Amino acid sequence: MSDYTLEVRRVRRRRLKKYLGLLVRYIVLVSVGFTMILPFVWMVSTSLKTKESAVEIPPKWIPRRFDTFADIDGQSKRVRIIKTTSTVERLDNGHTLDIYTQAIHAEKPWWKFWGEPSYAANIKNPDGSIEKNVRVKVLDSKTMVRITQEGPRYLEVVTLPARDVTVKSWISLEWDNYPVTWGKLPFGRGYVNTTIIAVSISFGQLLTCSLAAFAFARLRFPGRDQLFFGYLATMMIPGAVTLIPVYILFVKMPDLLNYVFHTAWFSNDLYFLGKYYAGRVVGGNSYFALIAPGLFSAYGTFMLRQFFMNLPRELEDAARIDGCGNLRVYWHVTVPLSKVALATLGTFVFMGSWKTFMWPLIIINREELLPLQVLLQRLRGQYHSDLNLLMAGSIIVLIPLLIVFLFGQRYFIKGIQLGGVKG
Amino acid sequence: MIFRRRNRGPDYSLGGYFFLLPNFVGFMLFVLLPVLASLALSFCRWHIFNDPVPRFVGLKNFVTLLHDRDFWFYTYNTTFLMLGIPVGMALSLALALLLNKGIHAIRAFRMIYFLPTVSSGVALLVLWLVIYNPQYGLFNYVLSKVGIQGPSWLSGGLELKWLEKLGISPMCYWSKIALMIMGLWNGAGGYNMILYLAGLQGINPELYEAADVDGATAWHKFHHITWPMLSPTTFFIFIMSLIGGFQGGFEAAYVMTEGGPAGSTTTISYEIFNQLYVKSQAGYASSIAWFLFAVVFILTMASWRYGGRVVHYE
Repeated sequence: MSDYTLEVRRVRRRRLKKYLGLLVRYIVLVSVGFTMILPFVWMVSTSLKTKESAVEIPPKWIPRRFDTFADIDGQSKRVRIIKTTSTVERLDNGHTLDIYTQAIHAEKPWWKFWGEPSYAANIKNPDGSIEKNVRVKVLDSKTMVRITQEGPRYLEVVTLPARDVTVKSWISLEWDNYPVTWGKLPFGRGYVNTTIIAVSISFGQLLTCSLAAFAFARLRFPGRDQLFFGYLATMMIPGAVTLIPVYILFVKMPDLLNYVFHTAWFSNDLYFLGKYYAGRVVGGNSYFALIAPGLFSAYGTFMLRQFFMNLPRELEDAARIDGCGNLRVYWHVTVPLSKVALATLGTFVFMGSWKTFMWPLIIINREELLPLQVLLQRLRGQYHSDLNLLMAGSIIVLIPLLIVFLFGQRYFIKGIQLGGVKG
Repeated sequence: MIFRRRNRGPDYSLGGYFFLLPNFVGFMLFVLLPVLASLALSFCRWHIFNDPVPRFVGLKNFVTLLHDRDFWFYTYNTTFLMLGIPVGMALSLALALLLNKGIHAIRAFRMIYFLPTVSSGVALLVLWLVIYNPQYGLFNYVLSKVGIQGPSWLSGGLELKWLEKLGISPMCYWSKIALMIMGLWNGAGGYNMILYLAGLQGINPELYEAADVDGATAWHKFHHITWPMLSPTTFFIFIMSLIGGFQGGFEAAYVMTEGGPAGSTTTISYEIFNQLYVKSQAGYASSIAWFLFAVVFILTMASWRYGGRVVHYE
């Protein structure tokens, strides 16, 4: 065999090995990705199930519901059973028990997102004439309202032998779960609260941290480096250490301030537009308590300082020569130059404060002030057996985070690599 | 002039304090003073709502702490849960290595792997609560597909029949394992993987070329180039996870298990919450918090002191 053939074989073998390796890598990566996605798919699927199908054994991936069907006018239609009666008929060969079901049939196409399923029924008008297959809304077992026309009509029910009525499962997405969950607890208010908290903390922290970072990075004053070291050192203090006195501080704050200023104003309840409970002025159960502790952070200061240190000094010097003071240099030069870093920190802080759980849990007990995370925890406590509602609630809470991540993804990844610190 | 300012350059002024002021006020109010206050409280006995003022009791809280069997059990729980850290790091590193070179759609993969980290919080805990349901949860369903009958993860114990026959009921619950699996799913593709990816991309490709010339195998290259070059990243991740691990576990315990079964998922942070919020014992809670602080402090100091020996810097 010539050297040439050997060489060709070696190259081929190496290439084959390389492609096989790549294939294996893709297979592993895709299956890991699959594992990451699977619980989310499960969450969406469960949130669209009925309560019964959510606890099916074994579980089904595609949401379905169980309904009663009956043959009416030669067609298999979904019915709602109103009454079950039993009649005894005397037949030649003895007694036979037969059960009859009275039912109306219902129609709710799968694409209809939410609202009551509309039922179709045969309706008896006051003049005695009968209309068939009219879309109606069920008020109670006897009264129905015609959707197209005002006024109640009496309903004519179909009476069938019970054996003709069968329970069948069919694919159906229960979009209703979302408005139902939304109505169980004040999620709308929760959204407002969490947004208020997350937005004010993000902007507040950007402002205070960038100001401090600017001072640490660009200004010189006595004790600067010692102070900065102090900031760094506090980053390793566990949250639990400061939590206890801060909790006590907020609990006692209204009384304390009332005592100092000889007033009762600090324990007042605030109402927005005279109608919406907006918590107390300060202390527990106030927006102040939810926001104030989050406005400052050593980590944000540290990260922005590192970024500011790497900015070119020339622009600042030019601005100073033109007569700008420190504040104007900060606002007109440093801040515009570090938009990316600020956006990164902002994304981090926003998502972090969206997820805060322990602090609101202990400092708030009025339902009107609760943020989404705590509301979800309450939902879990009150409706622990309605898995579909729990999952719908989780999705309601998650969606804004996912949207922010989708748009802020670039900043997020960069932030991790820049700061090298966990969020 | 006597008070002539020395010329220290245009940026030397007391104006810096003005810039620092907003942050410093918060820093004082919510970090510095509370730290001192909690140190003071840890030497006191104080039921927040029943006692008018804290009562100084000296070292009594710490003595109680040392003799509190429950507390050491909770410390053990916290430590046990941290066994997931090295496993998670290995997974993150493996994923980063797989993603590192020649993979298309790397951004899509990275985003999907990051989804659990982004969406963490109560919502995911509620999701996992449902997933771990013994009858209709996803986890046991998947296990049943491969022929394993899963236990009831969050409440059940290890069934050691032969031990029970001997009259010993072992305190082995699945709950910690369940929380660790959840943590792995949550964190494998998250911050750590991205840090590792950044670390990998920072390695000089010439090193690998040189190794190729010498005929090194993939394992040799990993062992002699990748691993040493990544050691600062590994060290950083490990220390941060350790510090985080000691403080963690509150949310999972509160939302999913309420610390149970039989206290097996109660961590130090959950115990602090219990002492503070449920029992209103601010003094005892503070002493636990300071114990935590001491552990974290020692870890951080040790990592600074001895970190240099195990880490290979360029």
